[in-house]
Amino acid sequence: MSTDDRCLLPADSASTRDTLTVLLHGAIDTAHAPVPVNDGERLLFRQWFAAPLRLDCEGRPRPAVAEAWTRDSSGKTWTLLLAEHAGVSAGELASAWQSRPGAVAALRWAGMETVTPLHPSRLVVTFGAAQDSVPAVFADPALSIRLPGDPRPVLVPFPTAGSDLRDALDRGVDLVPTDDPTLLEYAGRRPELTTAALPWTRTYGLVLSPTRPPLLPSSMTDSSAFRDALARDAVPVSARGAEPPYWWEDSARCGITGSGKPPSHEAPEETVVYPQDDPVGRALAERIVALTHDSRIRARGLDAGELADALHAGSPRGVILALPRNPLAPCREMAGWAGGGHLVPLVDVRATLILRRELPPLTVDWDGAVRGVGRSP
Amino acid sequence: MSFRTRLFIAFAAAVVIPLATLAFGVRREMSHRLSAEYQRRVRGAVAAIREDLTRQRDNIATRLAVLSDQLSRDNRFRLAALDGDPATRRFLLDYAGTAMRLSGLSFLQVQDTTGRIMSSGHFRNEYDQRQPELSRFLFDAAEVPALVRARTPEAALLTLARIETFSVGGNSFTLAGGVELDEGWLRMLSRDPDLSVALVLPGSEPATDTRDVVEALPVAFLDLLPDTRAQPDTAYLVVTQSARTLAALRRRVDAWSLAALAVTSALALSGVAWLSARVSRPLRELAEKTEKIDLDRLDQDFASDRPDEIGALSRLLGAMTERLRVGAGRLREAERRVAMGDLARQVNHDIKNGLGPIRHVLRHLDQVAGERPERLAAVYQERKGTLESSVGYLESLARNYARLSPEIGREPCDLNEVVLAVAGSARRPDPGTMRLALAESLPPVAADRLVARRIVENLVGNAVDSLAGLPEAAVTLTTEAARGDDGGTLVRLTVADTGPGMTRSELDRAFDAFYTTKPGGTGLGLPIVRRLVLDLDGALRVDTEPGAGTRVTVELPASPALKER
Repeated sequence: MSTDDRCLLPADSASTRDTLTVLLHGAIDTAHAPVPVNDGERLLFRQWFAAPLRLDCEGRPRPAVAEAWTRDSSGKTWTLLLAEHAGVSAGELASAWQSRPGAVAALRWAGMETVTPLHPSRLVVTFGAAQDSVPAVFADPALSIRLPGDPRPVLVPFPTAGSDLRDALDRGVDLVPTDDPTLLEYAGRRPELTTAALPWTRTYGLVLSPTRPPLLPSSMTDSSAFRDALARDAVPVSARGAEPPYWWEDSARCGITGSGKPPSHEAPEETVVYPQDDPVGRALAERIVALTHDSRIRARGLDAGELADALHAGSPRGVILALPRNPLAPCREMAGWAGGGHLVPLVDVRATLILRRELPPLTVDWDGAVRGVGRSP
Repeated sequence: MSFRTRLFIAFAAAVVIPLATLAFGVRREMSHRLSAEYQRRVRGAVAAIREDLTRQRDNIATRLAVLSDQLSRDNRFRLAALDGDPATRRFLLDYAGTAMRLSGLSFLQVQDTTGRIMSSGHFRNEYDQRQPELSRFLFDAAEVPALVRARTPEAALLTLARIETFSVGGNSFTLAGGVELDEGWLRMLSRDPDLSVALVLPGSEPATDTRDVVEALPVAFLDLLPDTRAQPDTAYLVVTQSARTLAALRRRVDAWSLAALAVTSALALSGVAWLSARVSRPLRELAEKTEKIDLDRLDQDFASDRPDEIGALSRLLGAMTERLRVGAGRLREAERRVAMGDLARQVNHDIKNGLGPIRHVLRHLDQVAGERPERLAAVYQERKGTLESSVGYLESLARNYARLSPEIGREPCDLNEVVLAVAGSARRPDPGTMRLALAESLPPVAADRLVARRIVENLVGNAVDSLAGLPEAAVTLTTEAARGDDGGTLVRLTVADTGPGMTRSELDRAFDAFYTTKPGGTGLGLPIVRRLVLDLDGALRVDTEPGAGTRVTVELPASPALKER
């Protein structure tokens, strides 16, 4: 089985359905396109927009807008050969990037120095540092362009009513990405449904304040048994102990030594804070609190702004963070919390896709996005 | 203090003191009853709380019994607890949370015999921690209310807890559960809004006022927070009846008591005032009538038909007044008779006063004729005025008596001239001096000049006579203008001597006719002076003391015509 085959979802090759319904999480705002801000937008935008290349479920680069890519001997200059079916020239692609601040920022975070349309089908990108493999930034949604034609099959949002997602399954929704064990158990009891584990997309870590005593002994938190136990017992979703390599350990090359914000004078708090709407973050914070033998230490949920402030201030004893498992721009991700303290990896989590058995072939990208494998002319 | 005032005070005391005593007694009795009532309410609240706790504990025990029965028959629990089956471990970890919510508890924990937490509802992720003291405590406190302070991820949780034991596969497990004790629960316990219930944990003090009514219900307590001793202790449910309400009630009772006392006292005092005025009015009327009685006004009517003591007193006063009236008539008749004798003696005295200067001049002339005859004519000329003045005086005297007119002439009269005339003709103290201190621009007095001279001559004569035989003697005559009590102008004449003065008894008799201490005196000088001064609407005052001389002051009204001028 090829890598791509491993990323294909169970399907009925004979199916001719060209429209599938999908249960989306989060509000959809097309103004965000092509860069999604939630899982729902990621699913929808991925089928209409494409970056020069894509990463499959195992993180391997696959052709997209670029059908091939080459590097020079230094590893700094990469030439993208644009696919004819993409319907875009190298000059148009370069102009599109330059007109979008998000695209420019993504390239700069990746170390890009120049973008040169060498030929209508050849785009040369030069980086400041040598790249051993094709830079993942070429798969960044920020570099995506609208593809001609319609995706086949096309995914459309399933109108939900009520909070019980089992009702959506009963009413015929085709795809449901979820981490709800109850829903997964229900799907397992329905013969017309099957499930497929999506890639490990998120890693939870504990940021320890550099100026406060550690919450737990490092001998405990550094052990894989500790991480595995957390994944097995503490969190309510499909999880595993966080596995190396950890991309943030290569942060030196980003040249980030702090958050860039002035030092804070917030009073220290005996808290372990977590994103307040994140049940995994909450479960991990509670387990950390349970393992400490200090009744003053409490778990506390914060909204995104408060969490960022707390991370910057270093006032809590610990901060539970949810990070992308395989970020396309590690330095950009790291800028969000670098300098907040030492990051202890805890667990990797992933969602599971519930899908009907008779669906046409679908493939999964590195970030869990699902899309059809064909396009209409 | 008036009789009416005394009467008022007596009546007021007789009314107000009993009223105040009554108010004080009522207030005290009410306060005692209120305090007892409050204490009874607090004790009742404690009894009700004890019943509530028992009911709650029974309720918790019932729920735990159902849960333990269900759990002991659950195969997933059996597999997870006995075999460590990974497939059912998540069920075990999540069990307590689900069961806790379903059973309406706020605290639930499954432990094995070693005290290891197998599943925790209030703190899902504290699994595998050890808390054997919880089971021990709840077993020991099986018969009494037991409070447990447990840990949750966010805060401490205080619960009323119980424990249940169940067995699976020959192994014992415990199910400890409870309901949260929060402010709402405490409020519900108090029921009565005037009562408050507070939980006082070991090491803390109840926040109550020392005046509050307090009852405390002991409950067993275990603190499971990690850094505490985790030793059984005693907490207290303290029921408090705020003293503020009682104090406010007492204040209201006091205010109403005082208001009632004030109103009643005011009414009583008004009645007392009216009564005392009514009782004292006949006496006051008698006093007013009595005050008006003198020898010239004996016509007051004391007739009364009152049958009481006041009527009797009034009639006695009427009888006394009648006797006075009779006596006064007799007295006036006697005075008339005496007045005739007075007149004769006065004529004699006045003539002697008129002849005195003539006799002195004649003696002087006789002395000059004998010793220095060549000066006789000159001396005669010098003393001729005195002779003529004395003769004129006698002639006027004779005319006045001849007219027998009681009226005295009222002409503007310069008293300084009269004083100078008298001083010029009067005998001198021997040895001694006569000093004059006469005011300038002295207003004239409204008096007959002859009457004024008689007054001055009598006073000067008495003064000179009193100095006889004294080594250092002086007579001082002073005139001055003064302001009378009615605002009118007075002329004041003072004749002062340095003589022996008078005793009190002598002064008392000095104005009696024919009383004299001088050899050859008539005893009519001062009486005549007083009568003449009074006839002129003047006033006479004598200041004397034995050894300190005598000072006679005469004040005569100034002449109106001259005053205007």
